[in-house]
Parts: sequence; structure tokens; C-alpha cells
Amino acid sequence: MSNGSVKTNFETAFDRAKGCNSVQEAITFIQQNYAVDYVTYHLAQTVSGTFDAPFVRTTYPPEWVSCYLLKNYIQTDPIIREGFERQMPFDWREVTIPPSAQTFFEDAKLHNIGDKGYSIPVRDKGNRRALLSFSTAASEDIWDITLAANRDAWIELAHLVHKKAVLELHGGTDPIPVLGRREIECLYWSALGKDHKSVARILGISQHTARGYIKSARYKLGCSSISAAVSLATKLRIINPNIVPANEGTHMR
Amino acid sequence: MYVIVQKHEYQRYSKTLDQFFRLRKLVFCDKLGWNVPVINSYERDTYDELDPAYLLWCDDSCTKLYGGMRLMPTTGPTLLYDVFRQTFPEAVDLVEPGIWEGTRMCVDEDALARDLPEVEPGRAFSLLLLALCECAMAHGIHTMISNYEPHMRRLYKRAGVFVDELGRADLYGKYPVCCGAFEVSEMVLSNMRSALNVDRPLYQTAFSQISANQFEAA
Repeated sequence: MSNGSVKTNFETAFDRAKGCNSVQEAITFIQQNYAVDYVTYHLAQTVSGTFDAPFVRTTYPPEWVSCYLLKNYIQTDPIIREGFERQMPFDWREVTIPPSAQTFFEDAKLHNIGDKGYSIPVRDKGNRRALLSFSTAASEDIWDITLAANRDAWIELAHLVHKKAVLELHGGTDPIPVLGRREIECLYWSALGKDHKSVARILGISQHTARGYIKSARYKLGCSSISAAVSLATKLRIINPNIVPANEGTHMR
Repeated sequence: MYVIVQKHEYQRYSKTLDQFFRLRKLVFCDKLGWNVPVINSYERDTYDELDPAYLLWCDDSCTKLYGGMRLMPTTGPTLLYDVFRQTFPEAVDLVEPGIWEGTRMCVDEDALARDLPEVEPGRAFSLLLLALCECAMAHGIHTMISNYEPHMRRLYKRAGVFVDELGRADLYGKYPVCCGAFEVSEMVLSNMRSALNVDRPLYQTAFSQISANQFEAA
């Protein structure tokens, strides 16, 4: 049962999820790490948003999965229906339950599936849509604490799981990400041991923006920390700590 | 009130959205002379087909629109990323789940003058930005990327907004267009609230929207 406790910090959790061999393994790890009851990843196969042949991985018990499939609950499940129409992460309490979905929720309850949850819609540059959902039968108070403590980590993990799913589904390896000039500069100065404040001063941008570029670089490289991003960027020859990045062209300011 | 409207609610807010597309035509095409697609009296582009979230400012009955903007996650297709790659290379580098793009921000000066005469247009923009800050925080967004006219910078400063100008382009209309990164944080929120003299939340979280509806139904 959920008690809001987290077993490892974000970086460790991210690295362990990233190291998993499959989406199933990754969501199982995430479910255990964050002590929620269930985690489900759902990729809509088509860009038009219909979910006829979706890619789904879940930690729900097999009995509930077969019941869900048998009764074709995907047609009624309001979380799925709205989840693929929403773009912003949402708490299930935001979802208006139509009368037609009452039976579905009663049936879920019979299977000990909690009605509290949080879903994170994922949209990638290829306009693929996915949804990572966390659910629990915990009390409202505990759920509020768990959610407040982990929301930002879950959002990052949703995108990590999505990248994993795309690779699992379509095969191949991660292409070398294209980083922009500012991202490269921020990583370069981080590689030399500069913190956000110094990086911001050197580049003449705000600390918040410097942090934004570093987060963006970290996201594109799929890394949990700045040091991991710096070492991967060095390995991929995106940066070279011995050479100052070239300042291409004139600045528009 | 200020609400987020996503695809599952387009139908419910169809009248307000309709006004938003008309307002965009008046502001961006007629007034600012931007080269934007206009069909009849509506300004709509391909990004409106990708189910964006709209932050709308409307009256309590959701029938009259006062302003709005369009929000999209930078991890997916976005206007600034696709269209302004050459112009704002520094802005399009910001791609991350907590970084969102806000475009087509506008207020309806006529509707405001009619219904809320005490709110002058500058304050109206600032209030919409404050609502945006609250909404972004509620949904795990830490940075907004947005385009704006150069004269807006003074207004942002007065409103307590932290914006980092990332680039500027001259080609799009009567005035240059700037692109900036807006910080979303507790500090900005409290700065804005005191600068604008607002002491309560403006943005209606989805929870309170629902309870309000249930209340109406009962």
C-alpha cells in the first residue's frame, strides 16, 4: 500500500529505470520505487489519436487486465479517453465521471483498483501521444503528499518510459541528439565545474534560463544529472572540455 | 475567470473559443499586421489542429471572452520550434517536459472597456500573465517560452515578471517580434501578486471548476 515513501532519490530512480531492459521492467521498478499500487504506460499507435491497436504495459493484476479487455473498457475508461485529449498532466479527481462509466469504476473497485491517480500525457516531436499513469487506493491525504513530493520526477520519468517504448516498438538505437548552441555552451561550462550562477554570468543569461538550457540538454541526452549529461556529451563529442565552443554567427540581441 | 481548456472541453467552451479565434484575427492580422492564416473572421493555424491547451479569460458564465493564449509542450511540435528555427535558434533549444510554449497571447480591449472598465489593457495583460504563472505551477511547468512585441518588456517589468530575451526578429509585422524565456516560480508568483496588488489566486484549478459545476447542477 502507498505510504508516500520513496526508496531512492530521483537520479538513482531515473538511472535504474533507464537501465531496465524493457518498458515492463521499467514501470515495475517505478511502481515499487514510488510505492504506488499500479503504473501503466499507454502509447496511442496512430497520430490521429484513436487507440485501436495500442502499445500498453501495465503492472495491473492479470485478472483486471483480462476483465478490462473482455469488457472492452477502453471504450468507457474516462482516464484513457480524456488522457489522450489532454496535454497537461492531471489528477484523476479533475476528470468528470460520466454516468456511463459508473459500472467501470464499480468493477475496478471489486478488483481492488484504487480511484486515485495521476496521468502524464506525453507528446513527442513526431506527434506521437502516450500516457503514463500512476494509481493508488491510498487515502486522499496520503495521495496528496505522495503526489506533491513526486510529481516533477514522474513527469520526467514519463518521458523516459516513452523514449524506451518507442525504441522497443520500432527497434534501433538512440540517435545522437541534436543540441543547440546554448545547450552546448551550458554543458561545456558545467564540464569545467561551473555552477548555474557562473554559467549564467559567463553567457549573459539569467540563472533560470541557464538552468532551462541544462535541463533541456539533459532531457535530450536522456540523463538524470548534469554530470551524467556532461560525460555523455563528451563521449559523443558534442562537447570537448579542452575547446571553447565556437560562437556561430552574430547574436540577435 | 481564468480557465484551461483542453480538447475534451473544446465543445463545452466552443463559444468562448470561437471568440478567441476572432480576437486573434483582429489583433494579430488587422492590428499588428502579422502574416498569419486567416479564414473568414478567424485566425487559426496548423498548431490549433494539434489539440493545444488554451488559457482563456472569460466572464463567470463562460460566454464572454476577455483574453487568452495558446499553450503547447516543447517536447511536441510547436510553432516557435518549427517556424522560428532560423530566427530564434536560442529559444528553440529549450525542449523539456517542464518547458512550454505560449503563443497568440491577446486581450480584447473593447470587451474589457465594456465590462471591466477599471482594468486598463496593460493591467489586463499582466493579470493574464499572473493567471498563466499560477496555471503553469499547477501543472508542473517551470519555464514558458513566448513571443511578444518589444514595448511589452516595460509592462513585464512593472508586473514583476522575470523574462530573459532570447532573440528578436524584424520580418513578421509592423514591429519587431521578441522571443523570451519566462521564469515560473514561487518567487515570480509572489512578485507579481504584490506588483499587481492581487491577494488571491486568479486561476481556477480544474478541481474548483468541477465543484463549481456540481454546485450549479445541484
